[in-house]
Amino acid sequence: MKADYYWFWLNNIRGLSNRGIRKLLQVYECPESLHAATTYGFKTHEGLKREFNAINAAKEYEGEIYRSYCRLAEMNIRFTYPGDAVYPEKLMNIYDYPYILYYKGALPDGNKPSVAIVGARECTDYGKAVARSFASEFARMGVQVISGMAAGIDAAGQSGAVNAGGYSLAVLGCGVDMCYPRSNIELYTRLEKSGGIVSEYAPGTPPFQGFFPMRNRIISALADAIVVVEAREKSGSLITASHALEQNRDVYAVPGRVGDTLSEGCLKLIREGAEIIISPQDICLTEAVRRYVKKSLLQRKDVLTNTPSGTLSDTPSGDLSDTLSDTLSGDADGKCAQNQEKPETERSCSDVSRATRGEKSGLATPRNIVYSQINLFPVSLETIVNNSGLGLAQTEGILLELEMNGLINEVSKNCYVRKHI
Amino acid sequence: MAEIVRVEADVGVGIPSFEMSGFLSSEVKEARERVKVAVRNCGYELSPQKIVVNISPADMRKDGTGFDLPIALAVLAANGLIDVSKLSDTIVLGELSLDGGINGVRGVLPCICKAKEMGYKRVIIPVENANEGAIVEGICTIPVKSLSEAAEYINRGKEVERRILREHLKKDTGVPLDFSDIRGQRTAKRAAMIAAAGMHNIMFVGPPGSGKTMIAKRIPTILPEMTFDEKLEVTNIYSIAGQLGDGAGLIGERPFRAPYHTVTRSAFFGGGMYPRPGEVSLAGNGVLFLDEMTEFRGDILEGLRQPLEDRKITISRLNYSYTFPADFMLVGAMNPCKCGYYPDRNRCRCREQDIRRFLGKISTPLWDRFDMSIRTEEASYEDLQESRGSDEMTSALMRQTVMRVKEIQKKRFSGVAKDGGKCITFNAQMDSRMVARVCRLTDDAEKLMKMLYAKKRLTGRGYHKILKVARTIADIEGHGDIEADDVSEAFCYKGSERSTDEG
Repeated sequence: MKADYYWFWLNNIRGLSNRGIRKLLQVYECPESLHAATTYGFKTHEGLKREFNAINAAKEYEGEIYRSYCRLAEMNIRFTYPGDAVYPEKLMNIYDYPYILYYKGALPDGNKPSVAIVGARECTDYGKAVARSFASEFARMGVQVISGMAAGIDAAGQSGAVNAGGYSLAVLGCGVDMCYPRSNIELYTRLEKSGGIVSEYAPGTPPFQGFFPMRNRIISALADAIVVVEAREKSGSLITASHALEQNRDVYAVPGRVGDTLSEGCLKLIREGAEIIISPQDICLTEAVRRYVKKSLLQRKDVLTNTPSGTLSDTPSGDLSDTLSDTLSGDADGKCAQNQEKPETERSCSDVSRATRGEKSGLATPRNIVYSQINLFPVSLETIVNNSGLGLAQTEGILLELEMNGLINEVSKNCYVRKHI
Repeated sequence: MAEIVRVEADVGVGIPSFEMSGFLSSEVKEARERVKVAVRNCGYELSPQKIVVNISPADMRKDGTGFDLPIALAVLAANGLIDVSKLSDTIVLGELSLDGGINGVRGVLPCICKAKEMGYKRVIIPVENANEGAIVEGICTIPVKSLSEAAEYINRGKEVERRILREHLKKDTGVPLDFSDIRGQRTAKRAAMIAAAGMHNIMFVGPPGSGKTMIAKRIPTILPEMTFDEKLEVTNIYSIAGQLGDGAGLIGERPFRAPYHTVTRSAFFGGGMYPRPGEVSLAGNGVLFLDEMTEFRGDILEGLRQPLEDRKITISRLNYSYTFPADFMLVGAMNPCKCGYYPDRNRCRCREQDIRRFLGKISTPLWDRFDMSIRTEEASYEDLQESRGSDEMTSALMRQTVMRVKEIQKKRFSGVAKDGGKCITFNAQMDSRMVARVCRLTDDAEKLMKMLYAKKRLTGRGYHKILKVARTIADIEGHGDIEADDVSEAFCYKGSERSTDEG
């Protein structure tokens, strides 16, 4: 019998909580000796009566446990446990670490920094756009994106990272063989191949309300920093944030408008001292990320000097490294956040200018007027027409043009948002 | 729709009885008692005799109450009490009451039309239906009040002088509706006008209380006048459905039907053992407004697809199938999500899948049948404060535009008949061949359309819909060929589901 079976056995005993296992392992050095004790008798220990009873009861269904253990391989599910070589080191730093972690795909690389992107399920399209663009930028920086694969922000962030060719990890509140919510099936299959899916719950466990706050502690533990994109005042993301603080992780919040219900959570976090993140590079405030980005930049620079200069501007990493080297070379200490802002705003400006500066004058062209009416929250055609003072047909023409140029998006019938942040 | 039947009566010796044959429904069979009593109460003495009445053709089911009077006249004629020879070329309709009076019946107008078509010269109808009878010209309608009056007319040829109540019994609609009642909503009002001008199906999407229903209810006020044939068609349908009302004549206003979402299938599409027209037919040549369209049952919504395509509805029964016209302009109203506030996430907490499920209640094929859709927005405080006079979009003005466009369309489609033989009168009714012929684009518009087709992944049907709406807009703007502005405006109104997240 392989040693890992005993870990599997211990974690699949009904009525044995994480806490129970912890207490047991303080007395017995490993699950194998515990398993042996079921035949040779337990040590006398007052506080462990309940746990011993549960283990005794497990004799009844040990065959069942063994069968599901054997099934894991054919389901393409692996697991790891504390002390195992691949068990994420970061998890060991937290108090209530899981004693088993089932996974599909790959576990995060401990040598690379990870950032968790979390937020509301019922979010705005703006929130999704932020999550997606931040995540894809993180991916380009080589940062791993961790989230809960919930609808809304979580899924947007993870798909952003995967689309940009990065690694992303989903921590589920159900068995790893289940895709919850169902609508994320596409993301799920992609993560199976090019990312990872983990859960502390045994395969086949259906999602249960109480599991989700628990899995949030794993999300924050696996990450070096967490970014909250949109959250209401009472939100699961705030639970993740408080876990993160307990676990000594950095918490970033994307500031939102005052008065929006979906910014209340983030604004609350900021008031409580969370770092403000307004561009993906702001994440470099976190020590682990900065060190890694700097290191990889130096490596890349070595490679780049050897390549012909013409190819440099073609790759997206090319301008990123420029941006980053500008800011990182000057001052490596915490001040870089202020500098980071600049290139980002410049970039979004250039998008606008591409749309509007076709006419050279600085005066308000109809296109400018219409575009300025549209912001990150959906604006309806009616409002645009009323506020711009332009004719209906003209406005519609301009809207269509802007949409075709990829500057705005029609999110709902006749409701438009800006595409670029 | 109507069929002419022949009532025969024979009297002879035998056990006194009154037999009737000819595949009769129970209300026709009950005529026996009404006829016997009414004949007696009119002062005719019938000796005890065996009376046999047959209505031919005997294989066609007869229902309705219009057979009382012809049966009574046949019985009288068989007794030699009226001159049967004078009954040739005459159609008789009417329900008897016990005192010998004649009550109105439904479906008089189609009967008269049929009689005229078959070459009959006279129609005797109940006086209640006099106005309905007066609609058709070229055939003599004789409204009668009682059985004795009818007999009198036949025997003496003397028509009782009738003061025909030609004037309409105007329906009291209260305060007349007008588009100027609606503040703001410029886009939605313009969309409504375009839809009315080209008879395009339109969907209003918007949060609760944003005026979707208000706008829809005012669409009939800007619809173009009906032609005489259209009026006749509408009146025919209402006559068959028995919804014409007392003493009503030709219906002059386009119908506006707004069935509630609990409507049953048969009330909606027409039905019953002997089918009667339902809401889709009653809305013919007018507006069928489905408020809170997502609340309608799926089978009703999906059932709409066929009549929208064919502009008629066929109800099949074991021995006969009935076809009613169903040529209406569909106006729908719905919220963008269950709570109604999406995409305003401050107020809407619907989950993504709930929104998708909510929108999914209206299937893609049904969406495809909406030429246009437009979002209505809640009126701002400034809009509400705006004085009435400052609003330039009144019903009268909009109707002028609609009428002008209608003239253009009339000229365009004159002499053009669709495969079914029915004439096209509106842009919305064009088929794809016609679209290709009529919707010429300027170079700019062509370029834009090409780009839209590629970038927006339009379907063939979607492409045609945009062209049709663009044609109407060009007509409104007075453009000969469709210009780029018309196309982009039409594209804004495209009936669409929510675009997907990715992108």
